[in-house]
Amino acid sequence: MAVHVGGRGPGHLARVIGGWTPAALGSSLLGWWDAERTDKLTLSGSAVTTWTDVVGSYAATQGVTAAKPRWDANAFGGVLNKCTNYNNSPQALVTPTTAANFNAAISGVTASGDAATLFGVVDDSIALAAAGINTGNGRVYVIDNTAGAATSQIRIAGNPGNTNAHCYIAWGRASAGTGDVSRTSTGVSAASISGTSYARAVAANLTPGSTADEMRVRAAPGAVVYFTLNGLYEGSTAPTQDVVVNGSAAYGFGRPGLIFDGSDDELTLASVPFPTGASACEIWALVDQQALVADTSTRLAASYGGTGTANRRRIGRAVSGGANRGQIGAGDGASEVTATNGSVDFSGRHVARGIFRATEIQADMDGISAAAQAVVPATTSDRTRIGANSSPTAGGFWHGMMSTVIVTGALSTDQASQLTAYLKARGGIA
Amino acid sequence: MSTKFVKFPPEKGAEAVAYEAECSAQLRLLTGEPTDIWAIVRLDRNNNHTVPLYGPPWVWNVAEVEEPASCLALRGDAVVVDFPEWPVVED
Repeated sequence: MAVHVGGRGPGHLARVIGGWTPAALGSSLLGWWDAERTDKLTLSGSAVTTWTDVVGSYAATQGVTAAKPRWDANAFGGVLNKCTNYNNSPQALVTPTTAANFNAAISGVTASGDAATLFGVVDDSIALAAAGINTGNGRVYVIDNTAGAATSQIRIAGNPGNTNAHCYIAWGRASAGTGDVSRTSTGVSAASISGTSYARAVAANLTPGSTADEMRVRAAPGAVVYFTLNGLYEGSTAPTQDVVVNGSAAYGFGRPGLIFDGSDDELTLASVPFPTGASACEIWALVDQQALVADTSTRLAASYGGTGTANRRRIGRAVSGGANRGQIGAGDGASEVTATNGSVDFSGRHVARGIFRATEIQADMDGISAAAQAVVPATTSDRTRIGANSSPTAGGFWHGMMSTVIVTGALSTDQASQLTAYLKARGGIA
Repeated sequence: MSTKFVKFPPEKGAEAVAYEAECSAQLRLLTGEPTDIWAIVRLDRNNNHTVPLYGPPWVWNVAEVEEPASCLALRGDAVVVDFPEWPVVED
């Protein structure tokens, strides 16, 4: 069932953040899709069926489930725990038993190792409370390797997805012997679990051996190791707080955002309520660009106008000179002219601004200008897309997140400065 | 929504359509929405019929959806890939 995720009534043009909002642009504000306006989102589960702008109620829609972006209240600027087990509350108590029995009883983790090792889910709420940890039901995983002669482990589902630096974390204790949090079954770059009180074991800044690596918690021969709140996080530095995961990778500590998978996600508005021909406009987006440089596809945050490059306007990302760059484009009726900002590494969170004037276009990123490129736009009026191009069959799919997409008329220097400051503050961009 | 993709070879178009239909049927059971559509079968740059995988890592609400046996059976020996290879079309 499709449901609205929030209850704001109509008539509220802006969510007020720090006083100034894009609503202050007045008649220059032509379109504003805002992931923080939950009253403007229609979800099916967490899948976005409709994202409606706050200016003209322009509804960008997606009717095909697999192509719907996902909305998450903590995604933008948040921390993603890539594990997919129930890290804070294993689903059921499992009296310590053989690996085979344990694996049959519990999903999301896989036990292996010495045949004499016992694996289970037990109530350890007293020890958790002693360490100031409240996980709700107090259940934790245990590896009882008292009788084992070899190291045993629990492997936790959830892959890094790339080979960037990652951190492997769990809260653990050992009532006997020692254990560790490890990237591999052989304990490469492990972080020790020892002592009878829970402590956070962090194996930080490790490079996954493959995009499908899974983290492990291990117990040495003779050890009894308890653990909970496991996490696999991208980045060289461990997050200071743990993100609770219940059956799927989960974000924490961020702001609302739409997540586009880079494969087929997009939202389409079957009209173009924005300037056409050579009339001036600007397209702004607060994005988290996650495509890697190795992916040389051009990926679009937004596009509107005609069905081809010669007659539309677009803003997005391209790889240029071996780096991610913010890039915009406009067709002159015969071909497309692009303007690329070569000053800003367009990886991660950025404020993207495409300026479309009567005779030139310019790509500003995070308030940093780039040279204008001469073109007389000949924009037509077939469709608008968020997260892809406006071709009959969508392509150039955005890979990453969006917090907001804004279309304006030509802005004054002051207006642009205010909008840049607003979006940078909202996106946590320095 | 992030998921993997199933590539049916060029001569297996009917199988791809049947697989998508079953995915849509399973989706409707999940959501309770009788008109929900799982995906559009698209040709990739090598003319493989490409359909998003109805199964992990696709997430419904907060949990990954297990692949129904009926979907698994219908995808047969089609290749599962992390990313589709859509045609490069710049109009």
